[in-house]
Amino acid sequence: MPQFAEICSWNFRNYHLIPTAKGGTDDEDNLWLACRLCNSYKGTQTHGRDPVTGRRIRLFNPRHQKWSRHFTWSEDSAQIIGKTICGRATVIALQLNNIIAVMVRREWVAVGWHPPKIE
Amino acid sequence: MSTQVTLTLPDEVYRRAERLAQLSSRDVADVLVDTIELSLSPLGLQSEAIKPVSALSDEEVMALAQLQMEPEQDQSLSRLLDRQQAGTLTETQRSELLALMQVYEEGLLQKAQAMSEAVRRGLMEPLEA
Repeated sequence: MPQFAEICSWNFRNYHLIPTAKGGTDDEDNLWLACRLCNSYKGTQTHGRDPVTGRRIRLFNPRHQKWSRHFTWSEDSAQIIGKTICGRATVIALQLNNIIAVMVRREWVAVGWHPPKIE
Repeated sequence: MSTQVTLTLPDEVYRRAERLAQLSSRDVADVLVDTIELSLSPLGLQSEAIKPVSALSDEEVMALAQLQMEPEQDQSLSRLLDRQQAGTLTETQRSELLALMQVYEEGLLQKAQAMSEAVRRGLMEPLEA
């Protein structure tokens, strides 16, 4: 997942974009490399709710959607800001700005590793 | 038991807390206590003192920068995350997953701190972002 997980060099693993509990398969198209934080927060979710419009929407799919269209970094690069309905819902659903993620990103910003160059 | 502290908040943070307090008819202080408690919930309560990374020797910093989860814990975490995705976690397994995620999160943070300290000390080459 093109967020801090992509460069966290901790433990990556594949997660199912559509969870197996909801019929997701092990096909490559349904797998994405993410760190354990994103993995655990995603759980069995496939949809989230946009806090601005209240609309329920499918979560960001890194295989078919462009990160920079849906997200951007905060001024200090420590937080991910959702730009679209899908982006905002995904930030909330996956808790992309949980305190551990933000503190880890701040460490990386301090030594110039962050934010990553993302298409 | 509780400890009283005095915090200086950015105006915008205070305004958000104040709005939430008004919405929920509560004191701003109570809203802030809840917010802090909830955001710190990923962290455990282990009481052993942790030396600041800046006080560690070069060897200790490098060891921490290369930190990985114990293989057994790593495998358990993978297995539990798979079960979570499959929607088959039992209550006991859910608690086990939470405990392992605490270990993971604390390790992730310590590793990031150690890696940036290692770069500051010239022990590691900066990586390309």
